[in-house]
Amino acid sequence: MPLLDIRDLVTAFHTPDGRVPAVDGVSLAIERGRTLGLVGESGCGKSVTAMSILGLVAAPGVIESGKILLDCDGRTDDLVTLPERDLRRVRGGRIGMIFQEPMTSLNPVFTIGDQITEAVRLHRDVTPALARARALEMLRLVRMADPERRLDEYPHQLSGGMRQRVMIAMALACEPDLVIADEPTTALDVTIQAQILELLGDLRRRLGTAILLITHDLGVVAETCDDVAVMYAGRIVEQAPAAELFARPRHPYTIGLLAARPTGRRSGPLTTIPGMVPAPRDFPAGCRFHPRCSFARLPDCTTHTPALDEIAPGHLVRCPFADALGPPRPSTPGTAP
Amino acid sequence: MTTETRTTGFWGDAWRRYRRRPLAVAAAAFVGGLVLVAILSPAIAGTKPVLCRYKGRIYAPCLAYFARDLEPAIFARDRFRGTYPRNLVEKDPESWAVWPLVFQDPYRSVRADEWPGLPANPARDEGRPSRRNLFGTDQAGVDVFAKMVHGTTIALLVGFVSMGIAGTIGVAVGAVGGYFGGWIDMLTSRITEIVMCIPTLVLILAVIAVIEKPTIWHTMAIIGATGWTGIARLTRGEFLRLKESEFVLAARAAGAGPARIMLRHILPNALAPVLVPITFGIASAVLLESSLSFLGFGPPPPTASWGSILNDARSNLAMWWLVVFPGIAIFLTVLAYNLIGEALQESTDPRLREARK
Amino acid sequence: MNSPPLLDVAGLETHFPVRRGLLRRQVGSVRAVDGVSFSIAKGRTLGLVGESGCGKTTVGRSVLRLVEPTAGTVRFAGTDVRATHGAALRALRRRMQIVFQDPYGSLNPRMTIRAILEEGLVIHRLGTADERLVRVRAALERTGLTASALERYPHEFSGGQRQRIAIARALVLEPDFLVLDEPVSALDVSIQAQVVNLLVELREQLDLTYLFISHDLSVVEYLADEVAVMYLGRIVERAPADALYRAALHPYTLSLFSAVPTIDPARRRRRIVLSGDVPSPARPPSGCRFHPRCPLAESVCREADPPAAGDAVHVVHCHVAARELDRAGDAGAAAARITDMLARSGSATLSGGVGT
Repeated sequence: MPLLDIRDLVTAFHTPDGRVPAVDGVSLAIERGRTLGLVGESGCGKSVTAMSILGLVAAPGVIESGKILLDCDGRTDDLVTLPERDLRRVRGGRIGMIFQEPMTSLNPVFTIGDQITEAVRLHRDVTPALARARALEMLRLVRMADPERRLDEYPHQLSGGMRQRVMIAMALACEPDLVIADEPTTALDVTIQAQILELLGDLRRRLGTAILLITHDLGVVAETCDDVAVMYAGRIVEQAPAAELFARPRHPYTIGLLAARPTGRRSGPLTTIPGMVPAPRDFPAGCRFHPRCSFARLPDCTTHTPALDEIAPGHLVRCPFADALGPPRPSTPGTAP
Repeated sequence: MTTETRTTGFWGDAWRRYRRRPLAVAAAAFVGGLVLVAILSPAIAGTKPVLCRYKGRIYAPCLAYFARDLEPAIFARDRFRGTYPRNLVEKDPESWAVWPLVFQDPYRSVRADEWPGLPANPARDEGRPSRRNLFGTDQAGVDVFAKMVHGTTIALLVGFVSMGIAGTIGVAVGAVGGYFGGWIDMLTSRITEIVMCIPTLVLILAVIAVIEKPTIWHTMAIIGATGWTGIARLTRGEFLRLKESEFVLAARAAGAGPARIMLRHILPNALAPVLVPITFGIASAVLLESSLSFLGFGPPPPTASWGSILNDARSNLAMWWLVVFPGIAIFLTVLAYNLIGEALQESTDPRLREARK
Repeated sequence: MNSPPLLDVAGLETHFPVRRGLLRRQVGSVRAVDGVSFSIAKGRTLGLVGESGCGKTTVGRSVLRLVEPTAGTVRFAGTDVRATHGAALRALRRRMQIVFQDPYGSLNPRMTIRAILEEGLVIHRLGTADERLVRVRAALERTGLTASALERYPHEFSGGQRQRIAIARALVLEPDFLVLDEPVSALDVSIQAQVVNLLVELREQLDLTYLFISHDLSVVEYLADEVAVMYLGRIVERAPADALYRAALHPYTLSLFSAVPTIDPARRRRRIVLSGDVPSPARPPSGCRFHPRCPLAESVCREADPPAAGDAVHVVHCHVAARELDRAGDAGAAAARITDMLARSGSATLSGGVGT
């Protein structure tokens, strides 16, 4: 039984312009202690998936169907139907959350100590002194320099990297089974990103926390994740263990993404994926990648949604031609429209 | 290329979102209605024909309600003395006339038989609302409905003129201070703070006391000259923010000078947020004028203003209609401007705009 | 590189005053750019890399005088940019254009694409209305957009398309030189490649010279002929791109390269995780500015500003690197030695170890 099991999740936004299905039938499973990378470009629905897990989808968004099953010592809760009161215990308790922008996710008028202490006391019935001791312990855990002093400082007095450490300390304060990290290093510089990723990996090894890492950066995924799910236009198009996915990508979108990254000196134009990322309200019919696909383009692609097939153990691809696509071959380099 | 075919500019887009708020649309329609009433006031209530044929020529004596000089001289020569119905028939049997919807005058009581078969207006306590006097009559027997219809012009002018003045000063001062910064900003900010300390009401009372013939225009000018501070502060903030934006840097990189950057690049982007306090300012100007008139410092008679009708009620509170009708009119007008302001704020909010994407 | 450089920057300093209190007294200054020198030959691309706050964006803006430099010289095609004023400066700006990072912020939301593209021509009084339209269309088509975009507003376009519009706006004045300030950083991966290809195409077709500012080392490696690495207001290392990526000498450059996550296991380097954060440019450290974070710092690094070492094409500002260069004689061997020293300093972990 996986720790978190998402089945056929559909989350849509009901705007005055019509229904916008941001997440459209996503199934994902995270085992205890594993790191799953959820990769995709802007508007692919990766963040909405994370918000759905926590029941924090903002109006006018609603979870229309599907199950989000969280395993807890043999008992299984469906987070979709769980009452708000119980859901609050899950958030910050059994599931911790790390956001992209640590400056806006921390309250500027409270000290670091106050904020970690609050996170602890929301979920545990402890005295203020004990909670403060726990906060200090957490700051030590995330290897914050000079933790006693930091406890009484305000978010603006810390650098971006230190703020992200505070966010991690808050997320881990109640020893969650799962941490959702939504672009945790996107706002940081590469040398700071390296520090934070190393810290996350180290904590995962020591605490056995499962991590759902949401990112657009394939390099980050390659270096930190056990499993990878690639999302495109509200659906998962490919899912595999990380080593397998990067060595043998099978979906045309994954192949295109990997090929579009510049590596080394220029020796001809970069391979591109033509066209642009569709906004959720203009998702095309059939295979949602078909207008930009440079491989097979049968009439079927435009009308029929391909199934997510298992082509090798643990390797799922949403493309009927996955077997034929084999190891990446460059598509015809072209200029974009 | 883009799949969208519909091209909407900023204001088209804002209007699209404004339209989704039925209350705000109703408020805008209400203000539009007031404008119509103000323009058509002589045709709605009055004792002068909208159009008439007299001695072979066509006249529009109703224009006299806008300005006294517009009353055709021939009627004065023929000694009409303001009473048209009988005089027209007696002095030219061939004549015809188109009359206002309600034969009542905002400046005087209608006498008996001025209109064939119509008795004189009642006065004082007797003047309660009736079929003839829809909103009743005041102490002197003047029809309240007619007064209110003709007072619409003032209610509108007070808001638009004073906020027109305030908006112009405020945007100019805020723009210059925000864009140039340094000592210029220091100067404009201090001036703004000083003006902010001036109590508008006291200043108006003082000016009215000093000026020999105070008119409603003086009041409007003072409200405008003191009411720009909030607008200036907001404009300054917007200019400070926008002058650092990349599209302004791009314009500078293309060689654009300060005037071009301020007028063409920053101002259109700063205008929407500034419109909001202007709208709220209109509401408070209307309220201020009403309060002044109520206290008896309004435009001198015979100028009709809603507030001055309220003032009449002070001497005889039994005449409830003198409180209720203008009160409701003032309340609805102020409410409408506030609703419009709020809807403008929401429909031009840049954060909501981007969320549309 | 025998032809005289198109752009020559020497000793550039841009300091921003820090004011406090009611009287706005100046209490210090942020040394955003503090003595930067480089030159770019016609048709070449210099990549300027570094982390946020290192001053790379300020260098780009100072060169165009969008911010006023405090000291130093900027010569463009033989003209002293800092001594130019009024109409002459305007004329100079026609030849030097800029593309910004944020395609949402750099286009005026209240102007149509046509008005945005035409503006430069109107300011410089170039051509009649008809001629201007021809040039606007040409620039738009060059960037892969069609004339149907002309009467639309920026919000109707996606990020990649807006960046094409921003590039078209820079091209419409037919400049020789472009400052590209993180032009692809805000774009989705699949769109980045399209814009990078476009920039390369334009450089070849129009013989453009680029100052390419970016924190993305792989894009810079792909696109630049020469790369300068900035840290806290200074260039710490400058070299031809292939030399730098093969044999970087500065410990900062090496740790920067090693920090970039990569997909290809063959390209993975031994990761050097730097401790601490970048210090504030308002109070830069003494001596070598990198010394508080440098695993190889010695006492001399705390005291003396490292002078330039290396040869004419590969310049490095580092006491340790200078010594190793002297000892080893060639850059390749010195780079290997420094990498080895960093690995042994204990700050290194094998990258990719996070997940296993």
